[in-house]
Amino acid sequence: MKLYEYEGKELFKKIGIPVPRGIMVTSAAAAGEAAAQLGTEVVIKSQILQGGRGKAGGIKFAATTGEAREAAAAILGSQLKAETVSKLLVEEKLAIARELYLAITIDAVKASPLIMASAAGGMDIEEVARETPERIVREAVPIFRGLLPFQARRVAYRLGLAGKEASAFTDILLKLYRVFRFYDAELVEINPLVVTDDGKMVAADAKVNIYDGALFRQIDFVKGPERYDNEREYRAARYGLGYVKLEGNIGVLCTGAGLTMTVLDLINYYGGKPANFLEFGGATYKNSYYAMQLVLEDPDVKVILINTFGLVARADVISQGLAQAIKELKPTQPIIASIRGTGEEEAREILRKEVGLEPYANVEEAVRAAVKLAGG
Amino acid sequence: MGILLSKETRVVVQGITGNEGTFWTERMLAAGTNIAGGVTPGKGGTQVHGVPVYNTVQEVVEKHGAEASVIFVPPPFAKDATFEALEAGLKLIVLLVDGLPVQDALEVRTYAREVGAYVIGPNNPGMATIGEAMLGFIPVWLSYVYQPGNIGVIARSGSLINEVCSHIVAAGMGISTCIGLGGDPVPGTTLTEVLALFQQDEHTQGVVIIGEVGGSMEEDAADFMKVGGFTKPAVAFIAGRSAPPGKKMGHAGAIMTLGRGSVQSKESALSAAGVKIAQRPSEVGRLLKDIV
Repeated sequence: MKLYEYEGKELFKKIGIPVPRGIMVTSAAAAGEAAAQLGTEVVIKSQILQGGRGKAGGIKFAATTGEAREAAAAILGSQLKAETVSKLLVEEKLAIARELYLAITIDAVKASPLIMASAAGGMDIEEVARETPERIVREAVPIFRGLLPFQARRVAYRLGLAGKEASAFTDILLKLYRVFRFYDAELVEINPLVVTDDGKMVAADAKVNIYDGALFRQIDFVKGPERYDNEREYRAARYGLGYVKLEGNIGVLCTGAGLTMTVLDLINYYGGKPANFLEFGGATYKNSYYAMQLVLEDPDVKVILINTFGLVARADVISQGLAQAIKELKPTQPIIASIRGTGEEEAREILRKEVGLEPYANVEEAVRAAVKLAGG
Repeated sequence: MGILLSKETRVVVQGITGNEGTFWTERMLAAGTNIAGGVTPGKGGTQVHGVPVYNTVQEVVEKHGAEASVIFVPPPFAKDATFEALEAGLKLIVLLVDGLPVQDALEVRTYAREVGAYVIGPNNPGMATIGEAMLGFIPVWLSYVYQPGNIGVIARSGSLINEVCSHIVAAGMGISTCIGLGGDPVPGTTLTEVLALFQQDEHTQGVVIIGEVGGSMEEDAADFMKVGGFTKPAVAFIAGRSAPPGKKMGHAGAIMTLGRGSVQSKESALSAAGVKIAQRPSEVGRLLKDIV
């Protein structure tokens, strides 16, 4: 779950990482008031979850309260990176001397938290990593020991920092590590970490991504509909289904992430186009009903393609749910199915008897039939 | 024969009295698994399908000399259960849980390495040495999918294990051990570590790798092959070439970012290391026949 910048900064502030003075607002009038309250030149930043908002016009500067209102009015309600802007962060404008980059993420191979820092802040760090990898300092943190001051200092010195700057950086890094661990993050990032003209170090941005699989114990965070690309993906997640909207016209229902990806690959291989990724793995009877409902809501769907090769999910249980869904939702589109796994004989019998569906013997035959029906 | 698990391996089932634990214990027993005891805190002294239940893993180890564990407990308790098994000295732990916090996975993998144990998973279907024993959810009783033989199978995804194994059997071959590494970003055991085990197993004559988009396990395995760490014939199928960048495709580990972890990157790395690449699961059998 990605946090908005203003949410990330609240966590930073709580633990003592310096952030600019700022106020989150949802209207142009409030943006004007916020600018007046801050009493300085301000920066108005759209609160969206995707990166690259600066280049897309989502950040504006304002010298007066009138300018702040105008800038806010221009950004609010606009579409940025496929998100509608409904929140703005109004902050004091910093006098920037230099910009650094600092992040903690996960090194899956070493199985440890990984510090990444660079003196080349403010830029697209993926680009820095590609073009000048030597400008990124990396330090793996042993998970059971945790980050100790000597290692944080070492990162500061490797960045070429000295004196008060090195101390300020070390303090921020130690606190950022606590944010990373305490909130079950998969990424915490400050880009840029600003050194101001008067020598202070301030987190000018905040990115905190909490691992979705840890939300059960991060109870202060609720992943609401605004954090999904569309409403259907949100509802799917609430049902425990993995759904991603795609561009084609073959509605896909599958069990298991790997098999679902493979079915999408096979559809493309045979010249068709999938309308969605939908995995109802670990399926219960109800899951297959919700899955069918989600796929049928998509007006692009011309053919429905069902593939299961269940492990935990029993084929006969899945088939009962599907048969029920077909009877109640009465899809007008043709349905192609290949049902295998534990209980597959009963499963086929259920689909034949209840809804007159004759399952295919294997996944590739089913995919070819679906592509043909979809006009591919 | 095969790796890590045989019909002699004495196994603990953690979470044996839950719905899933009970259901799959019956199937694991039917598959030949030597289950020494079960564990559910507070349920010690009871039985499940004739298997004695204890309060702690330590008791099963002391009374029955258990060596391995399969864990059926939900995410909030999964790290605790895994550490209990590791501390009791078990060297093979199959961790099935879907939804383990990634920082717990860091701790699990690190501790397992410290004590020299293999944790298989999380978020995986388990593993089986065909004709001997099964730990987890693998339907080894489907005879058109699973036959004993000399091909090792390693997969990220459980549903694809079934699909690909059915093509191996259809081509007239069989499977030594099949093992699901799981779809999470930080697996307890990597592809490279399993390849090293198959290299040592005289019975296994070839390997099928079932990979997927995201992470760098397949690329790392290719590096391992290039330095002679694994030299047996191998076929790979990698799922997810149509996955849009940055989107999570069911598995938390299956995210591709900026060209890293793409299907193309994995296929070219493995191909350069001498692995035959299948474009579809149905090609795996034919490619295997050519080289084994």
